[in-house]
Amino acid sequence: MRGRRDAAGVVRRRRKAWELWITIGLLVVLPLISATDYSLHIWTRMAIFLILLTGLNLIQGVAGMTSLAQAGFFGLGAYAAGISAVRYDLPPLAALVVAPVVVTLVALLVGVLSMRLKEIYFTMATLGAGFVLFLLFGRMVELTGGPNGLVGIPPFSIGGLEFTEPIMRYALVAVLAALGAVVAHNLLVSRTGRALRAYGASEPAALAVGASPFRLRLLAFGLSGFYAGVAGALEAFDARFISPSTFDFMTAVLLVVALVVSGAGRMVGPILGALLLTGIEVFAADYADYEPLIMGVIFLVAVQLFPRGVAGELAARWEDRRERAQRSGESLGDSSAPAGTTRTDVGTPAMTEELRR
Amino acid sequence: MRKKISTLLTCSVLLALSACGLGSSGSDTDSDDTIKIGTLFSVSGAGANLGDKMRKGAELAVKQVNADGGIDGKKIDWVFYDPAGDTSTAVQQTNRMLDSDGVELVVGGGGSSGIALAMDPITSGRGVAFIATEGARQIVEPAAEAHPLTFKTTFNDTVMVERLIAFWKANGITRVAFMPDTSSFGQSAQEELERLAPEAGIKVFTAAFDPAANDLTPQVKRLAGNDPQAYLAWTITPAGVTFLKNIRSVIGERDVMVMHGFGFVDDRYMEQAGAASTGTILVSPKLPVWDQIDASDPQQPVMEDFATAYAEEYGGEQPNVYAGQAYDAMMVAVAALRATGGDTDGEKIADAIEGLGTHVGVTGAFKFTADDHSGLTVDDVAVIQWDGSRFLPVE
Amino acid sequence: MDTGLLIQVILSGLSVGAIYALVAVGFGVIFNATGAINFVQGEYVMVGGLSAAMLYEAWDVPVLVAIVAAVAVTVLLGVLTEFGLLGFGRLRTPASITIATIAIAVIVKGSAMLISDRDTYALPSVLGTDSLQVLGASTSRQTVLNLLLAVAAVAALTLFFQCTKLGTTLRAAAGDSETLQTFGVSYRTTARWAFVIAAALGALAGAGLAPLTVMSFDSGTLLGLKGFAAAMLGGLGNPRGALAGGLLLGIAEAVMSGYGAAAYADVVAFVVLLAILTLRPTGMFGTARAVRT
Repeated sequence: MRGRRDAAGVVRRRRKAWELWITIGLLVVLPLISATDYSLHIWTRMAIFLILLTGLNLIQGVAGMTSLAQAGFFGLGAYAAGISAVRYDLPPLAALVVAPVVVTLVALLVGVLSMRLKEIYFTMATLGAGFVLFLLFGRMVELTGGPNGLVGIPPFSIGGLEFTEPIMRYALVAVLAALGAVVAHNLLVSRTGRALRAYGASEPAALAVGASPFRLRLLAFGLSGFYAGVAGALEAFDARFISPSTFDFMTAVLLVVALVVSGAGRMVGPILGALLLTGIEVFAADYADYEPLIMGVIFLVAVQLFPRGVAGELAARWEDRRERAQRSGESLGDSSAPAGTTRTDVGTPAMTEELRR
Repeated sequence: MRKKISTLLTCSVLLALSACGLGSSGSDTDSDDTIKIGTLFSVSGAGANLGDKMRKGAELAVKQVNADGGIDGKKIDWVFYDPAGDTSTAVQQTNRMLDSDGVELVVGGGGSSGIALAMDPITSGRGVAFIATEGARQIVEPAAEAHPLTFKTTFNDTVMVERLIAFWKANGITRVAFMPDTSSFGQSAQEELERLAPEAGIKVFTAAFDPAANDLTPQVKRLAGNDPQAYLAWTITPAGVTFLKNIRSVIGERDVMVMHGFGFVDDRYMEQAGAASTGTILVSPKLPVWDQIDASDPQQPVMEDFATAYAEEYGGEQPNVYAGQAYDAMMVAVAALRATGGDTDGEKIADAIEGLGTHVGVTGAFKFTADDHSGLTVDDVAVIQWDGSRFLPVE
Repeated sequence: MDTGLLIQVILSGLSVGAIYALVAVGFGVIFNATGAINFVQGEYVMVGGLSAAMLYEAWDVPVLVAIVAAVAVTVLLGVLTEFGLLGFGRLRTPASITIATIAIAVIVKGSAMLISDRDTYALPSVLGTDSLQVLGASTSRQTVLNLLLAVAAVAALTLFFQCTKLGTTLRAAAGDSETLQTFGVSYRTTARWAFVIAAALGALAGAGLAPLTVMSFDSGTLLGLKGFAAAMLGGLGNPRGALAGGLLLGIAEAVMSGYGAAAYADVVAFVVLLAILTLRPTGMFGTARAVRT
């Protein structure tokens, strides 16, 4: 329970770039393992989940708030991109820019309305926002195509270059996913990021360093919306068809659960979560009638086994050992942080704190 | 201990994923003595009941064909997945069928129009023929230009609505209260009805409802203000039972015609609505009244054989129209495969289906042409009535 | 203005609202005991209604016997839910418990789908099929019963919370579970009782709902979420608030169906949820906990 910030903290965080390298490494390695059309389709799907979870990680893992609006924002991004391309003939590249902007604005609006609420109330406000979006996708038939879905979305293209080959489609999503991971990583080691983490771990600590919790959380939530917008636009151009069913309550829940059991707050959490989501989807497809049952049991067991996430467990132990090894070499002088300060880099901060009581 | 478990889980996730990717690269050698047909129906999720009936219909067709020695000696190897009503899952499963499982022909589009619409570009893109079992006409229209390889064995809403309008005209009905649910099933019908009815001089007053609604009296009462002669609901969900109960309660003794679309042709629903369902009029394929139509109708023996075999296979259960559509889709595929001599090339299959002439199925006498990939006409629609214990044809 | 339509809209709102109210009360009981939102609540309604209807249809038992048996089944499920959530001693925060309840809801729904073989089942009303005519509008007699049930449940719970030892304990948990534990009352015991009460309320809601429509494995999920919106509207954890919230939400939906864009009726609940959280997160009647940071 010793927290070491400032100089020592920065050094350690830089070392933590290994988590970022795992993410990028996997994005590169996966198509080398298998590059059939179907595998590439699966990897693409995984990478889209990765972007969604990287965004969700900012609000869930770092600011310590559970958002059930991510599926709705994902859908909003997909529809914003799809509608701009189909109804307004915007070039795909422009649509890819429009979508995250629209979603970020909506996320900020929802954030302004709900950010001052306590944890569980905030979660329920995001549930409401996500559900309203989901229902509107199905009801605004003129604009969205309604429950039948939006057809006729063109493939992604830059200039005259169309991204129709599976490998191209994967490359596009993977590059953006990697970029997103790098941005998230840099953000987190920046001053703002540290303040965010500090806030997630303990509010007084954040206040003490002069950060405004409201603004910080709003920033995190807006960013999570931005990521969802990018993911949505990519989904629209990849599937070239979108319908409301993809963005329902269950998707919102699955995203949160996948992130929590993988390790919210860790940089490596989103990639593990994305692998978990795609893995279960592929695995469960072979058990048609038992699919919902299998999903439910897997998630209950996972939540019970890893309340602070697989990555949280692993990394916490690994870093503890490193730290101990290092400390035995150093003088003990710098480990005298005030008692009761929580670690700022493990698990969902709120959960971790609770677990250690 | 905890650490071991976590390491184990992480590794197994990674392993499972790479295995699924690797497995696809070469494990499915294209065997010459089977034909792989792939099917998606949502047997879990909101439309599970319907999806299950469709699966049974298709499964029965596969069993019958294989028991008869298959197609020119080749057995059908049937691949089935459940997208649970979700289009993105369905897209993933369709890719899996085509790229990894080696499926050569796709029959059945997930049990909802949205899914079939999502599958069509994938199958077409691979040059694979696709026979859908879902309603929306956009799945196959325009056939020649945009959907040359995609067919469906269901009624276009246009056909159903035309039959309804003819029926209303014959009975002097000019004012209709229409209650579609907000699913794709209801919305597609609403589009067609609001397009075609005014041309025929029929006024339609619409109030939609949520498929999960538990009380529809506000809509019924609101529409009653327009003094309609008929109430028509368009849904496949249990809310249709609530509709029947609410109509009887709100309208009371007033003489109005209570109607349902073909999605609600189901003995169980009718029985569960109790006295409120007696006298309900429905537009439907002829299947529910197969035992009461003229034996000279070429469709009659086909329906009888199907109903008998289905009841035998599934413990006395009577088939509904969805089971019939799925059975037809599989049988159309089989007929086409017999015509091509087992060749599964998409264009050859499409030519074969268009060249079938009249394929007498359970749902109707299909006449597929290059411009009509739905194949059913107003003549295949029956108007039927629930008399309190069974469906009867209405003249 | 058509008074018939107005009365009809109000009757419809009360009919559906009574069910929402029963669901909302259940959310409140568990929130008070654990601080978590129990997403299995909607599935309790489904299990209660579906098992009563299945017992009635399959074994031809009298309606009342079927309902009693269904309540017993659902209460057992409630006890199992509590065990599944807290039995391993690993979930401590309301957020992690809430997420686990969703997993359990998925399991319950998946099992119900297999057990019912995706079929729908009907349960007749104990009051018969005749409808009740009120000032040019009409409703099922069951509506009256459901309203009485909701009012009785709220009254009974209020008495229970104020006048019995167990009730006081459950209410104390709402304030602070840690203080409670220092007084030697086990968190698990309180939680278990909360789940028993919530499941019983859910089962009653299901038995009240079944005669208005038909039940299937899919009947509970959306109802649960709307019941939650009702609970928030009235003030989460406040039984009287839950009653008012349920009825108001029911009426708001009916107004949308009767006068507004009927297709958007189911959006109302979630707009209400967002609005109440933004404007007055304690709900109309207040809640036992702090809601803002």
